[in-house]
Amino acid sequence: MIRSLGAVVAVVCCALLLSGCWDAIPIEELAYVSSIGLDLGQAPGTIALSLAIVNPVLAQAPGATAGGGGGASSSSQAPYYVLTTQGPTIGEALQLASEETPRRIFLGEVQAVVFGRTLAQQGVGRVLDDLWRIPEMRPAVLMFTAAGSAQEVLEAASLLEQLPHNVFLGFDRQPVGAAVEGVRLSDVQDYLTEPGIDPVMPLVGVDCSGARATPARSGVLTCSGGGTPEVQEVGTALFQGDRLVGTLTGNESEPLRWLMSRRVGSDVAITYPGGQLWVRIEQVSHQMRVLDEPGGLRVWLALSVEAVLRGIEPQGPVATESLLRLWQDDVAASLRTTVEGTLRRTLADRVDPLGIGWWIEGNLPNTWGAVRANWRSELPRLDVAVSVQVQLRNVGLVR
Amino acid sequence: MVAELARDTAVRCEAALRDIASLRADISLRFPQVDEAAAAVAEALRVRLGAPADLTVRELRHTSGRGVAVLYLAPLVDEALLQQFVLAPLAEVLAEEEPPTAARLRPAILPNWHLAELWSTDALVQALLAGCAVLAVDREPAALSLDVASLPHRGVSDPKTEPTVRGPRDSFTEDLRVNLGLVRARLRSDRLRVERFNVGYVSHTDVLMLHLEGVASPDIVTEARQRLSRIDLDAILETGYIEELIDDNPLSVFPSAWSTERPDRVTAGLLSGYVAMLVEGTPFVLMVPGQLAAVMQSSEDYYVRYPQAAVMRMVRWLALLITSTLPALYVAITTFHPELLPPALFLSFAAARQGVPIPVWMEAVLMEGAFEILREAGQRMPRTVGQTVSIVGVLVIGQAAVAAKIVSPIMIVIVGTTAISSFAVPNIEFADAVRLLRFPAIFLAAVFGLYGLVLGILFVGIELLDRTSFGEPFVTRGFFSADEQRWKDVWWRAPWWLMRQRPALAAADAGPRQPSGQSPPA
Repeated sequence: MIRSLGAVVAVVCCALLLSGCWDAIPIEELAYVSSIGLDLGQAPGTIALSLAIVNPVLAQAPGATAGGGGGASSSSQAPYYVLTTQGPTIGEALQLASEETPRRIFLGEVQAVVFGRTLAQQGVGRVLDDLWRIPEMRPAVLMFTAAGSAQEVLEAASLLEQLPHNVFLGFDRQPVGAAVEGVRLSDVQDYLTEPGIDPVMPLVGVDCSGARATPARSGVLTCSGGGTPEVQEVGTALFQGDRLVGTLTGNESEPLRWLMSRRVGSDVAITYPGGQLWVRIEQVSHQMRVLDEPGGLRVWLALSVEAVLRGIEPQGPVATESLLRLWQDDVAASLRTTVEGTLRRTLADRVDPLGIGWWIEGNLPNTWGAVRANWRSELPRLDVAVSVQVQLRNVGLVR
Repeated sequence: MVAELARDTAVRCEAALRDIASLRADISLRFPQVDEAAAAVAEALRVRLGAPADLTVRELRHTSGRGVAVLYLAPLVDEALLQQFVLAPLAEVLAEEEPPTAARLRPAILPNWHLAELWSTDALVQALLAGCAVLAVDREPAALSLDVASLPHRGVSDPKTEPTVRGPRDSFTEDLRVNLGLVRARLRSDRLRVERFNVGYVSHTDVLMLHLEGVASPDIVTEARQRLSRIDLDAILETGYIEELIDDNPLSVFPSAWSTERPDRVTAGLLSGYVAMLVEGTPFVLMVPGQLAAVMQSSEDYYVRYPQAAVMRMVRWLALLITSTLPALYVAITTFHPELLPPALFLSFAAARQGVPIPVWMEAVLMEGAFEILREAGQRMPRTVGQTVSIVGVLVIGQAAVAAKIVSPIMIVIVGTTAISSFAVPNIEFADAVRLLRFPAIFLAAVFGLYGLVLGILFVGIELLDRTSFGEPFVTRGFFSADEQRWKDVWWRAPWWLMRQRPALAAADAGPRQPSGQSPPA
């Protein structure tokens, strides 16, 4: 017992020599950063770093209001504020930010990073590299692209959520929405280091119900025409490597969501010769194959869709088996057109979100060797063929 | 100087007189032709015991001149019994013409009585102190001790420290005979061996060692016998005395044996190969060797259906983990590793800590210390003031401390959870040991974070694995064996019909508990 106690004391004493053993950071002395916004700075070559810093007491208080300074309620203080600093790198901007707050800035709980549009257009590789170097940063942090400035998105309120990261996590969790599933920091790193796949990110913007959003001061965003600014998913940002090259609207994004994420659940209106059908896409599975044919590469995509019939216009007599088959064919044709359209659109922008290049690299290595160097210029020339099989459920009475 | 010399001389003379009186009585017991043996014995006992106020001496004389003496310590005997079955028949014998002899007295007075012939003053003194009456007759070899003891004791009651919802309601008392009876009533086996030891050179406490022949390992029984025989202490007032004196690792915080006040647990232990030690004057029976599996078992585990028992056993292991590490884990995470917390929990912890003037580790030590004080006070205080202390505890330690921002509400939750978890560990000595280890764990976590906590857990793990009790490992192989058969009564509790074998500590040739094929028909 005494001998083993001596051994433990010796080990503990050795531990005193280890660095890091003394850097206690009591939780109450940390400035909790919920989300990060990154924009281009005013000076050339600089980055504007916006930190959504949460006041834990206000965030936990019953009846706390939403918003970064909140227009939601004038009677109480907002649970977070947005601190923006500028520097040539994220590290230097963080240094400046830490000088402006009495607490140590803690990035270990950051849940979302939003890139401003202009920064994204110039390329996010450098800032991603900086983010990756921050030891506290979680690899699973969600990445978004703002339709405007990232700071504006952080400052906007949500009617339901108090803190910005909850808004972004909500976008990631919900089965419906305008954009694809949120991409993680670690995913983006992988995409940037590997050719053959490109990242796409949810595109978020501030909706002022028609009015223009005006950041009045740091941490307060108001709508000039009245109303409450609200963050919304507005589409999908298409990246070519680390540069934003285009965006898809909400409707255009839906096929990408069906193919790329577990978030399906979208309602689609289908026009058929006798009227209109409303169906909800419940489940989509797909198979992709690329054929190296003499005329060029041909991408074949087979989708198997399970959908629920939500409504028929006009209401007619009870459906028959043959009518049901016709409806299924109509839905399949409509979905095929939509998917092909979105895919052609992304390929025309020389963006490969589905990882067609990865598939070729894995399955047709010789072909990949031949096209790898000019893969981007190959993308618009790809022949895409989509086949869709639909199974309608909950179709009501069938004769 | 002179006074000291006088005092010393007086003491020596007194001792010499005592020795002379004893010698005289011993001679009269060994040489029946000596007259006045009864008077000599009475005098010798009176002198040896210092003429105590509770010593009753009845000296009677037959018309032939032969004397008879009856001596007893009044508080220890049943006087009605003595009067009815000893003194009254003795008077009748003395009234007869024939002089009283041992041969006449035995059938007349004591036909069904437990009696023993004693040949020395030392033995007579012990018999008197054990509640026997001593009967000495002139010109008779040896004196007779008559067991008319009626030692003060309470009746069998509910177990206070090991209550169960389902199961027997009786518990041991301070009376050794009652305790032995409670075991024998459950175990009507001719293989139950009972050995008596007299331990404590002043208290002369009776200690019984019980084992089941053929089931308990002979090595363990021999070792237990030797260790008990080796004890040379003035008094044994509780099994705790013995436990420390027969321990393999006396400096360890963990108990080397497990104690219980439940006769059913002792019986089950004997059937599993444990050795039981019953001590006069305590309701707690010591079971050796100590085993980690045993201290985490409750007798109720075997009375309820096995799925419930298995879950409860696993809950107990979880409670053990919580009670030993939760405060330290909280200190380590909130001080060194806040990134491990989910965002919502981070905010809750951070909000709770705002405005608390002391560091987390001090807060933890303060609150754990306060809980220990409350617990200690709760155990010692009279029951009538118990409610007052509870209210003060809740208001002062709970609400007021939080309201005054001395501690955070989260810490109250942590301390409360830890305290409740500690009571889920069935063995109170083991739970106490684990609770004690929380404090070094908190310090390690406060200085080194999770590294320190893991270091502490490793140290305790090594200590537990290194620990033996009566040569048997405290943590048995069953805990880590790949053979699932060995887990059956360790991490969980298998159905009865699957537990065919006895624990590994039982004798090698003990045989199975039941034949195979006992599973109920489908």
